[in-house]
Amino acid sequence: MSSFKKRVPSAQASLPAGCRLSAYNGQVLISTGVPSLDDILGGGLPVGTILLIQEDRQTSYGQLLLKYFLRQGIVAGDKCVVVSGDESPEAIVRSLMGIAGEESLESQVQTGVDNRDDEDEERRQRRKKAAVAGGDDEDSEQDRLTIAWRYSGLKKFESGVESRPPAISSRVNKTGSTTEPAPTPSQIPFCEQFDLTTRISAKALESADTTLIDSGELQKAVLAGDSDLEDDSDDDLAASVAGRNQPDLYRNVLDKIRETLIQGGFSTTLLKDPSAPAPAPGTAGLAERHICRIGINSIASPSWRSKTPHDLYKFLHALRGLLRFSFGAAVITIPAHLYGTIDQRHATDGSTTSPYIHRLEQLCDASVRIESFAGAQTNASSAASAYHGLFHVHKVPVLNALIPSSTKLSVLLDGAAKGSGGPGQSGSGGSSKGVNNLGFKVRRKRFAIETFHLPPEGGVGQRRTSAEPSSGSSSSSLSERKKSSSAKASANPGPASGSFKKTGSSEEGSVQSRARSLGVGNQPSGQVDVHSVPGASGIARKMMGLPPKGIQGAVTSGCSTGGSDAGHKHIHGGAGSGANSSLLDF
Amino acid sequence: MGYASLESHLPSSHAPLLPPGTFLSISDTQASDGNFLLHHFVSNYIKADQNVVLVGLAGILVHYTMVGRKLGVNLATARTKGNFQFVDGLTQLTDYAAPNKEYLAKLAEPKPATTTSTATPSPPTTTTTGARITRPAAAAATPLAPPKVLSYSPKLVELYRALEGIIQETASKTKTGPSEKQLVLILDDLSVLLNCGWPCRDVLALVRYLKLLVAKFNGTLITLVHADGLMAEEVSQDGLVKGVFYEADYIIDVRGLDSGGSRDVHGQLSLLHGPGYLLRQRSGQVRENEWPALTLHYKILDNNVEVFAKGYSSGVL
Repeated sequence: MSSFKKRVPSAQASLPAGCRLSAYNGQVLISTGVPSLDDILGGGLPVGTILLIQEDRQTSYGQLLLKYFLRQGIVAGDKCVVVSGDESPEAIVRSLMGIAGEESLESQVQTGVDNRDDEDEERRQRRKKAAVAGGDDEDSEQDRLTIAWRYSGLKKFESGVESRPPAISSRVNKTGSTTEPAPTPSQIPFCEQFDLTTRISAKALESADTTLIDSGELQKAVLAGDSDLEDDSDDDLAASVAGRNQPDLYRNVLDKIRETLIQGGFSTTLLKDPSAPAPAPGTAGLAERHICRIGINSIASPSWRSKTPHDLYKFLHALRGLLRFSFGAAVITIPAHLYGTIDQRHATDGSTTSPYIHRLEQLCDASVRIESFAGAQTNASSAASAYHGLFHVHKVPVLNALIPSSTKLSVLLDGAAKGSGGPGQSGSGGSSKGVNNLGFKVRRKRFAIETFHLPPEGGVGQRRTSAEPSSGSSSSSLSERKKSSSAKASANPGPASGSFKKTGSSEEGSVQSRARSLGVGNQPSGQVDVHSVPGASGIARKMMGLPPKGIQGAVTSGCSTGGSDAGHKHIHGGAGSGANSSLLDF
Repeated sequence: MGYASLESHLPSSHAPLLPPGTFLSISDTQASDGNFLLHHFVSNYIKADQNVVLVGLAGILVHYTMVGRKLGVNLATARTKGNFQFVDGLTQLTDYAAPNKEYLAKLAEPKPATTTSTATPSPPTTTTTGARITRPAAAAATPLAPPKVLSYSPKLVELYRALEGIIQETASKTKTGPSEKQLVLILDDLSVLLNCGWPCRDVLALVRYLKLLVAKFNGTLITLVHADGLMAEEVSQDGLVKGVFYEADYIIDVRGLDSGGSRDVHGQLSLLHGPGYLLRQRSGQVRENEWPALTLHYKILDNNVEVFAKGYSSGVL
């Protein structure tokens, strides 16, 4: 009879609900609601830090990320503080998304619909098939590499972070009965899967612990001076305490936040009642703690008027001082594109836009920027329509350590990749800068951040036989330049499709015949197909109109799937290389 | 011992410490944080059993403690010994941190301030007018007194007086034996002071005063300032960076690589001579090659920083 006793893991139960410990340095992390963003931050947002999201211009993906953050907080039972000026905080809370698979306000019952997203579904089907067919993944029929078999042992290149399948069984309520016991902290998932097509259910809204701070109301109170405002509703704390001494919007908002932290007992240093016994130190007392999530929508937007340019910085500084000693975290979105002129954008390393925002970034622990393709000037959008925009990471949290955890743990930032590039260094995880371009896409059910790559030329299995219409003034100007570069370019305005010039020299004729003999799917009617050429920096250029005279024919496109390589080489006959280079400079 | 590979490049006269009476200015960018250098000096001075006064305007004590643990120093014991003094410049530095008077009135009613509260800095009652360090009343009750807090004042002069008091206290407490201990005063982030509204002129004056102050106490001053190229357009930012450079004896400039990010090299750091050094060199106070001006590359590891000559990173060799 052995005297071995099973060691019960006691550390797991002692964390606050919905948190987990970082695998790298043991910090307490909370989820932002988006698994890929959690991955970028190194597992999650550390408690006590501030994440700054620089918003995009014509779309509201920044607010979408904020909503994910709040919604995850409601799932975990955290206190959510919503500060908003442009939109009423109530509207934001009401428009939060529902959980995948659960009934929503409009009682959309998703019967028989698989809850997972399309892509994940495919992946899982494939793996299931492989498992059923026998053998493990590497050796199954589909995955076995016959040509490049030496690569079969390498880890698969992950371009995205897979989301966790939701735990459906414990979540679905048919009739919203109130007798269901609240899930214990260990049952609450770290990051729930949400459904963007549904709204938050009434039951979840009721049980949510929210504090709504309407900065628009506060602003009015500040401007009105000492005048009294009537209370709007129970949730809205706007009117009650207006700053009498120093009327200042940022100060008022900060006071409200501080009050919420103190009243809720989230702060470890500012105690509501110092005479009461302090919560037990160590991990045993952590289970009773709750997290306070602060979401600020569009701070420093034009409706937030500040007394001095330093107000916002002081606000962030004081907020950091509050949060570092509290069980809370903040996600702040800011319309960064409003600050800074066009000249100040696009610094050489692709980092932030203006000195004003840069200063704020110094105080935030993490900073990301969303750049959506909607209405964008660049042509990258047309070439990469699978993505909705680019996602730039300016700063990741470095807390209590020399290097950020994401350099070791993040898949997207290439931390976990094996050091196959450098000889002699194995997986030491280095700087995350400049490793991957990241883009995001918003699908029906989730928001995903993935490595940004242009799709193969012409699409898979699709031959483009007519050039796409011009999509911007820059592209046509490029075509103008190209046309003028050749001396004898005919003045053909750039409509979508040109045509072979059948007149002229034997050289042209030979070029054409050579092209045809290559048989790459040119239309016999002689339509010139031009299409985008992927550029190194991700800006795809379209070349329109006629090619220069020397390369009269044979600009083909729509290459079949087998032969496409990264930089598509236009097949042309042996025309002068000088003219070639103007066509091919990318 | 700090970062061993960095040791050989620092001035060797008082190695591993810095020569007293000098001023080292560290500048960094957002892409390449200079925080790791501060940890190096903290650990060196603590291991040599000298005094450190660290003013955390952007960082908290826990951060330094945990990194110090990785580097092999125990800041908690150093604090009890009196070698290490942390000044909290984060929680109550600005007037924003002070709650409104109305709010204070509501808060003050129900509970008495107790002397047995362990880690509660009492809400300051006169912060907007006076300026003093709020010393938590629990200093006697607990073995480790909480760090002193810099509270808000409209003029930076008060901040200087507060620091002066702390330095004097630290130096007098640890005066043992004939030889005076060396002191280092580290300001975590000067840019915080500038961005919180104090004019550039005042911040530079503070730096000058502090430099003279620590020289009196056989110490050196180390400051960190953010010097991104993007900020050079703003007059006050640029003025602060240049002003600090002009005051400095030694300058360590940390920035990212021009050619972009890399996994093996995180950035470069340049050791430069400040005007003070040149003056001292001319007057013969320093030896010839005490501090050669170099540009090196570095890579930050889990608990160490490797500093190497350009092109000699271990990923290449």
